[in-house]
Amino acid sequence: MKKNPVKKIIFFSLIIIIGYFSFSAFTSHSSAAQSGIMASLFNPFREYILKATDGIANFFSGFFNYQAIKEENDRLIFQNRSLKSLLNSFVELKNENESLREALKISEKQKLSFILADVISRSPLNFSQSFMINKGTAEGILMNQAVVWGGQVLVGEVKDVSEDTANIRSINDNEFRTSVFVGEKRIEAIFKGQGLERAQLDLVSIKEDIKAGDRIITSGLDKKISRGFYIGEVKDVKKTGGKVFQEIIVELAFDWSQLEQVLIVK
Amino acid sequence: MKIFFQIIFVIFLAILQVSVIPHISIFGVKPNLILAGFPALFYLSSFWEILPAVLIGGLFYDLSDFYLGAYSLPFLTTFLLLWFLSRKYISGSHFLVLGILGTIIFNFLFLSFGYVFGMDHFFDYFLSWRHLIEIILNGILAVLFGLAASFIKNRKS
Repeated sequence: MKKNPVKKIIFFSLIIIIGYFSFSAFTSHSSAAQSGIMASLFNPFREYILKATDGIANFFSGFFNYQAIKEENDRLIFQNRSLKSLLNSFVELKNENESLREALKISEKQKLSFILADVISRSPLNFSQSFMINKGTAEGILMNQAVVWGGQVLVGEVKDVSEDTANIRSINDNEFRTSVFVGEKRIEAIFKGQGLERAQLDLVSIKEDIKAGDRIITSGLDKKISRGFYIGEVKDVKKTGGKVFQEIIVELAFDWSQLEQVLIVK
Repeated sequence: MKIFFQIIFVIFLAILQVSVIPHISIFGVKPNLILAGFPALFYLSSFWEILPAVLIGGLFYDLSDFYLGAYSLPFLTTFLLLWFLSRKYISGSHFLVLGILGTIIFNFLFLSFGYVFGMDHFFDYFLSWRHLIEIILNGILAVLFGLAASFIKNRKS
């Protein structure tokens, strides 16, 4: 009986692929496919897939959400006009602030430097809220560095890094935690991502006065993420009798899944 | 030639998964289209015809994440287990049962591989009510793909 050569080819290919995957999986944290020749082979392909699929997604998004987009557009036009009027007073305040700093000899805040990176892929299923960027240790990216976008809004942290790529854990991933200040009173809390659920603030005593709309910024007290990055605002506060801590729901400033570029804080 | 049809079908599902599905997710839950397409492929093709498509589907998902093999290995194992179950214990074309079983097996394997290889722990999602929604969604989609497969098979015969 003649053996089918296609089956042989598939069988041997399978062994090679499984062997390679197993090797990748057992090689420290990062996959062997994220560095060297494999990365230069896969990264352009990843980028191309993301761009192509984003194009398709945008088409369908516009198709399904026409009415919502129209309403949002009207609202944004209104907000834009209001913000323009506020801008004048902001410029005045900035000048005044600079004069006062000069007068009081207050040194400027420590300036941060950033690395700009492109998002090349996003996790396709429900488990993890993470994405990949096209910069790695070769450009000076290290584990646990903060990732920001748009006026220092915190987007996530570097979860894993190889020579040419890095994996970013977004702030609403289940495993993301950081210490924050809430509102003008700067009440300390722990911000925690909740995966597909809305993010929450933890360890806030029931006695503390927190209300919807309070701004949340990183406190830097965990020595992981620097102070002053904006996360979002308080969406809802629930105080249940008999409980020690409040249940605080957070409205994030950014939807990480829409980002195409990010800045990594050095 | 049939192998290419399976591969194109799986690539089409993978593209939909990373482009359209995030915008039409239900309660934030994304169904797993390739997994839901498995029972229909079982119905139409033989083991060796589906295998390359499964690997390419897994690789497509792998390219969307950091760990190469994180999706391919669970996909391959799920495929082998489902194939075995569909031949030994599940008689006829039970698309819904295969869709539901496939989701539970795949997600359990993904969770286990993730834990063992130190990627992350995904217990929160696996034990949440959203996982139940994904199981139901994948089951429904498996039935829809299965009906399309039956239609194609009937037209051919």
